[in-house]
Amino acid sequence: MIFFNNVTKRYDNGTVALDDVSFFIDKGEFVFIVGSSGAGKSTITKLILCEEQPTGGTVLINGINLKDLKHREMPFYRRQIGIVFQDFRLLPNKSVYDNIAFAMQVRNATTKEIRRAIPNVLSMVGLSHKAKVRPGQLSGGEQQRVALARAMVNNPPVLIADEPTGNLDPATAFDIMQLLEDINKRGTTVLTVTHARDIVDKMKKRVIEIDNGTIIRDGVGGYANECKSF
Amino acid sequence: MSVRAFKFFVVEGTKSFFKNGLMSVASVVTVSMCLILCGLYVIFSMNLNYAAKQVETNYEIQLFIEEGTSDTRIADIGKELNGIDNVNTVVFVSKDQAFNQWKEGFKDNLAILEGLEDDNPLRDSFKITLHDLKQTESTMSQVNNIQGVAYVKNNKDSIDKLVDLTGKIKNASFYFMVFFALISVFIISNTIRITVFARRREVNIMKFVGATDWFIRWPFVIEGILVGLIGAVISVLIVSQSYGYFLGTTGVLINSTIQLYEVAAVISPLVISLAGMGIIIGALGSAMSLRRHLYV
Repeated sequence: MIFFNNVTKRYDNGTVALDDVSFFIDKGEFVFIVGSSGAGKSTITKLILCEEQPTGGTVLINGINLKDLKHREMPFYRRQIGIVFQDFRLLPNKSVYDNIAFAMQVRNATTKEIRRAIPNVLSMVGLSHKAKVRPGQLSGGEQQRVALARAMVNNPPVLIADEPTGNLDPATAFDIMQLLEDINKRGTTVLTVTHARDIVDKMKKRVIEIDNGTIIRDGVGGYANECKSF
Repeated sequence: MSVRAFKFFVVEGTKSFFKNGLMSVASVVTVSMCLILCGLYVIFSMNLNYAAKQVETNYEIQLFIEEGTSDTRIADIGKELNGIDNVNTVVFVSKDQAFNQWKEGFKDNLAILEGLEDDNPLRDSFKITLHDLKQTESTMSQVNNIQGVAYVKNNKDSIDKLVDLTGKIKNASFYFMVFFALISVFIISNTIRITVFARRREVNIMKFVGATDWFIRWPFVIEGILVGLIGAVISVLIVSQSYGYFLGTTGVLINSTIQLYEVAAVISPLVISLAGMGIIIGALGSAMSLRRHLYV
């Protein structure tokens, strides 16, 4: 599903963000990518989203080699990936309903399809009663739930969560992680980039730890615990 | 593009126009300023063409007939003149008619003409107008060859200069218009770029949910078209009102032989050209300003 094969990423200023990194994430897995700031974990997200191209090696997502992807094919590829950011990235002028609907409108969904899908996804994130509200009127946790609903409304096979709890208090952060786990149980592959040690420890999922651009640990367990290596 | 998508783009573009209140006003003002200047040039070149046309159609060549030419020969001369391709109108002026016109000119001082009525010194003549002034020379040589023509009164040199000058002004105003349209697109694309920059985050979000470049671009383009159209309406109103005021205050100063277009006659060309330019400038400006933000 997600395959990084000897991937190196060197930025124009000479910084090596990833150095010969390889890992494979199978369909339906829940994986944490952890590491300190500047370790290279965000570069992994950028490579998956095609925001950056690797300097060396291959990134394969759902069998697509991202190096072969043309600019005009990019939108269709991105529709297969749900994405949630630390800063939620909701459209401030649109209601919760319209923010989610937008992700369906871009792929030319009919009004009927939109009307059918949004109540389901809003109920999944527990925000059915906030459909008409603007993002600015919601708490951080609620905004992240809207972002999750938007990411999931098209049923993507992969969900990338880039520091999804970075702006949230611990209790809300844990609720969001529960939601991610629920989504994963429905069959979606979830890749969460975080440095929230307590959450990683609690969830007991597969953890890929990056330091200085290389993988220093890949196994099941908590952030700081000894883990079972792959 | 499906009807559903088109409706979505129009609604999004219109909503966005009203939501970006101040920036939309700034863009409309910039477009209006540019279109007002373009509108003035449209009226200027229309009137220049109109004036040149009038000078060409009103320009008369007068042929004087030899003394003692018979009426039959004079009628033949008229037929020969009508047979020349470049001759547009032929009017015969008898010596008596010419004398009466002369009298009309001297009506305040008829004493000067005393005694001349019995011995009219004027000649019978033909006044002709031409289709194409550029062919004056060849037409003149044909006219001079007609038997019975004594001499021809023709201001060819000054007409040549006029034709040459109007041609040069037409060319210069055309190049000025092209130059000005380019400057307008540049100014407007910069104004819209500020709007787009303020909304780059929005564009970025659209990219990450899988929107195609054109899906992102269309609402902006429609917003740009709206800016262009509103700018065109404002500039048509300002230009036509100003032109009406100009005609009202300076009409008396203009030589009565040269007419300018009435306001009603310039409205349609103004609306068509300014609305067209507004739409193109707005749409192009938006599409160009977005380009950089689409490569994410």
